[in-house]
Amino acid sequence: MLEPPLLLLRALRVPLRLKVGTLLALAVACLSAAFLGADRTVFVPGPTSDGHHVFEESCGSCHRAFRSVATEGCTSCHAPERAPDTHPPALFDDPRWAPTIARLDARECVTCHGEHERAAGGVTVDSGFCFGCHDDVPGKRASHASFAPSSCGQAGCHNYHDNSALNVAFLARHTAEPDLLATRGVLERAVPPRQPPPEVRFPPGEPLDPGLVARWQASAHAGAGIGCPQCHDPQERGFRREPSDASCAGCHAYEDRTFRSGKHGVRRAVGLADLGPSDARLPMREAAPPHLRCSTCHDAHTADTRRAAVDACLLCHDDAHSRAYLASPHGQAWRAGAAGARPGADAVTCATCHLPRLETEADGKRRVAVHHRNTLTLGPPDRMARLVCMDCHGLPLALASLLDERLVANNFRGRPARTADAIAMVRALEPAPDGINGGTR
Amino acid sequence: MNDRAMPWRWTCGVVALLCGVACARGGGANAGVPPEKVADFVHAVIAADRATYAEEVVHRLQDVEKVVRATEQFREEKGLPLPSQMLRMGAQRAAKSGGFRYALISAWAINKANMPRTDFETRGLAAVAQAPDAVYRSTEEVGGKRYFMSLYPDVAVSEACVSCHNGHAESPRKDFKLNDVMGGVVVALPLE
Repeated sequence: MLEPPLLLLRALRVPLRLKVGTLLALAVACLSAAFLGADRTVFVPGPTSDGHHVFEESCGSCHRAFRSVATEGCTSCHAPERAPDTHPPALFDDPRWAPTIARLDARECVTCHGEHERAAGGVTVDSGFCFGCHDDVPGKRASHASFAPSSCGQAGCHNYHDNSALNVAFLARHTAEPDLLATRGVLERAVPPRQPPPEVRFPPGEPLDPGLVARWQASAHAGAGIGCPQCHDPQERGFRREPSDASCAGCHAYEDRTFRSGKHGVRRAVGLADLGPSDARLPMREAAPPHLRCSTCHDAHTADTRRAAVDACLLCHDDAHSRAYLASPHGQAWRAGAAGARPGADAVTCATCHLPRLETEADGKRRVAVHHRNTLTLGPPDRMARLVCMDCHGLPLALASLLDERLVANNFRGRPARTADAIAMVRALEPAPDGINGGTR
Repeated sequence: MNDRAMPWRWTCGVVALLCGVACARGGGANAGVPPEKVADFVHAVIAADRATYAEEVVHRLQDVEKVVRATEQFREEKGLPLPSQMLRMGAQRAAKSGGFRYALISAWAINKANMPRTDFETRGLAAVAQAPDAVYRSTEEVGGKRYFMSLYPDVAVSEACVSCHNGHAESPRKDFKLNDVMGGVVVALPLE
């Protein structure tokens, strides 16, 4: 690319200093153009982590101008994953921790989660870092005597930030649970009483579509009094044939907020084009829609969440786990279930695990809502076990299955090869005296 | 000791804490309140809040009215935090807004994180174990900053403290008795 200017300079017999200056100016101009443009991937110094790669060209999402990454930049997105944090930064912001902080500054996220490099779970610090403080464990616990420092986070035993599903007291309470619990705990969303559908008013020039009107009249939207203008002309500025996602967010603010906080919606949150199949590292179908929007999964005229819960996912996802779903026990049960616009509480769909229903404070009200942060339960395994699997299954089966790579790949068709180490060790413990907790590790 | 008194106790505690912080931050400009006095104010609030929580919340609801249990896994079990956990959560919250720090430590802590981590803490715990009415104080430089440190003895004031530590699977000491010094409360005031 630089050859024509070089030839030109030679032909013009320009002094060397001017040649060098011109080349430098061109280089600066190219880099400036790249920096000011939307695509800044040329500045990415290495492979971005699996969690951040979908918006890696948005440097300013993490980096302050020409400065390092601040912890506040991380916590503004990752706060839901850190509550309640077993190792909160405030714990270490105390002079008594100064010698430890000098070795490993646990107050800063980037100490352990460095970019731009790929590592399991996004943890780039030496895997033996726990022993910087907990080197007494092999001595005081016979079950841990032979464990290597690098093994703490392996085998699903410990979670640095959140031990709520892995502390001994919790494990001990759940070790005797059967594979399938007698009582299911999947939350059911409240269905508001249906109202008469509002009047249909097609704008002049728009051909009436009776089939579309019939589908809409049977939908949850019509039953909630949501007619054409609320989506197609919310601000009374004229009919829009294809409403933007902002129309959806006008009513579904919680869903929009949680969507933007996950991998599916983070590109929109940072001002980039909506996520497309080419942004993904996982295999995607060739026929996948170019961008992920509300309407990719939800048809507003039917509000069919059965489609959103499975069919829409399989429009794009083409990895082994996704391909195995329909033939899996969960998928077969879903296919055999009653037809209808909403999957029942017994159905285990893609969304059941990856967009879980949570009881939450949403839009000023306490209600059961679908958490649209698709990365919330992706990892580590104990979070998926606690938030999702344990609604139906005992902890021993849930944890062992999530730790079994073969079962994850085939979408849990079969039994786990072995018991999770954490469960086996707690089963081997002597029962604690009544009323005494067994520890917080 | 009725419920209505509770908000006033907490309010008084917070006001006293803020006064203590204000005095500490004033430093030389607000001469007349020596750092040991400021540390005593802060400790008085910590001790009063802790005792109030232990008596009016934990003991009343768990042992008298028997409606809820205090447990280490209080979130999971929908119970009450233990008094020591309450203290530590308060310390972390206070650390976000004030320049000072406080911590509950012990040479026999169940969690190693709460064992002495500095020479001052080791010396202080040994000193208060010998003289339970004394306060061990020192000016220390830690992490490049100077602190006025005070370590107050932490005495087993209720049977619950003793039985929990003696019965815990990982407790390094299991022969505590009532009124034993179980550890200490460290108050660290920054001097600049």
